[in-house]
Amino acid sequence: MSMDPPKVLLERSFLEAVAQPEHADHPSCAELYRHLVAQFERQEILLVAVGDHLRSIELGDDLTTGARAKWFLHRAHKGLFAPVDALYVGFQHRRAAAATGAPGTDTDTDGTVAMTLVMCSRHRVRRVVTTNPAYKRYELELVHPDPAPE
Amino acid sequence: MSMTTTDDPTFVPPSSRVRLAGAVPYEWFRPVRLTLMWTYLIGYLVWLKTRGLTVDRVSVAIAVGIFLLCAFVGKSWRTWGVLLMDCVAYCLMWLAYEKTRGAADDGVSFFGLFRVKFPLQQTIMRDIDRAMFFGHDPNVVLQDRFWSNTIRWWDVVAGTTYMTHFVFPMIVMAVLWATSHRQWARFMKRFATLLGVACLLFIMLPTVPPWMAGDPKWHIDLFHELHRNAGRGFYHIGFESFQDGYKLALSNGNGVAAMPSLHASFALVVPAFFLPWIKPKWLKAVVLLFPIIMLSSLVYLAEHWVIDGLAGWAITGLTFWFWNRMEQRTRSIRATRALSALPQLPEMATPEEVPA
Repeated sequence: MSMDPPKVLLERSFLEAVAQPEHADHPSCAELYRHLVAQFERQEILLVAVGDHLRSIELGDDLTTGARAKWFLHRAHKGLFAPVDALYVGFQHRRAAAATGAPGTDTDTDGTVAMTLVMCSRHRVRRVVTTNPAYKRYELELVHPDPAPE
Repeated sequence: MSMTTTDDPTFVPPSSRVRLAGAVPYEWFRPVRLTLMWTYLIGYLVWLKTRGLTVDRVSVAIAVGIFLLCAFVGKSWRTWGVLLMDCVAYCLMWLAYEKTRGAADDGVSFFGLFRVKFPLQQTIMRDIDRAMFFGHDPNVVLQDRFWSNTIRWWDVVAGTTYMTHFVFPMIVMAVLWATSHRQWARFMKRFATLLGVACLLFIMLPTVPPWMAGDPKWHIDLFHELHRNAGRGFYHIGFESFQDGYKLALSNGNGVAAMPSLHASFALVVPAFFLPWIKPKWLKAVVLLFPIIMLSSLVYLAEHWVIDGLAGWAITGLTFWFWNRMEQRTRSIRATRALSALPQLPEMATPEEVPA
């Protein structure tokens, strides 16, 4: 039993759709995010994201070591993803993700999915918000926006 | 509405889904941590039985530190870094508390230039108690009625309850530290605020406690001498060597740091923190009996006036009120930042919400 409200992990594909107005899924994802934020404010859920994915979307991939270290040591809760807490990725998580996504294994998958699965497992997250159908293979409670109307 | 929790159209039947535990490599450090924590618990209980309860701050901090080492084995370097910073803050909090509390009866020095010393309150708390109890002194009444050379069951209850003050909140901190850093931080905010306010009052309102008010050595003589042996009931049930530590802990303290009662505050802060997770009303009532037993014990053992305990409870209540509001405000600020950064969308139908 956890004392914290249930954690809802915002997966990379969802973060990207929320952050990019030109993304095809942006309207539905943004609307879903709005409601998740309202639930966060009422303390019904905690919003989390894999640290590497959140940093990449907040700051981009071309970061100096200093900026990366600063974000790692203290991430300011500002901007679009202010309510989201980062699940910081350590060496052990990278090793586990590499083993999870290894080609030829049951869970042969790309690095992003593998890392998300590892963080879900280590942080006991069962609810994932995503637009990526790859997660349907796993025993997770998926929350995903309806597809955008044609 | 734009969200769903169903898995159509690329539905994977539940029987075909991969379990997360099967997909991700097993975390071998987890059983190691659990084994170490259970070993620690057994070791602590053996120590408790054979050597007694550790009550001085340093020993308790060492005990908590060893537990945390067990609980954090195999965690990431960042987690260890956060733990290290937490530990520094924890030690600074206690150091500031001990220094302030210890200096309260000498007044406060401002950069060595001048010293402000507040007058010792000798009668006011007693007068408030007498006003509340129709002219009676609760400490005197309880000791006259119940204290004897023979140790009775109520002495055991009072002594044991009194002694829990030295370890109970620290056990809670350690368990929260190991299980949820978020909840640990919430608890520590309240706890540290409580300590800070108490220290301020210790300085501004140095107060003679009941045992001192009746002790001929101090020439205050508000009533006859009261017995002061808070731990005898605890000693009676077989904890052999706790008294050395107990006396050591007291020797670093300040005899007139009585208002408010931190014994009463600590006894309330733990149940109050966990109350939202306790659902049955009868259990809530049982849990809230603990601070009442604590205050009754403090009065019986002549350690505090009733008003000291009530003030401690009031400060605890205000601390919770303040931090509950602050946390709600922080959540609202973070939510507002996110929503204001979202581009405005056309109004959509009211969605069904994600089940909490």
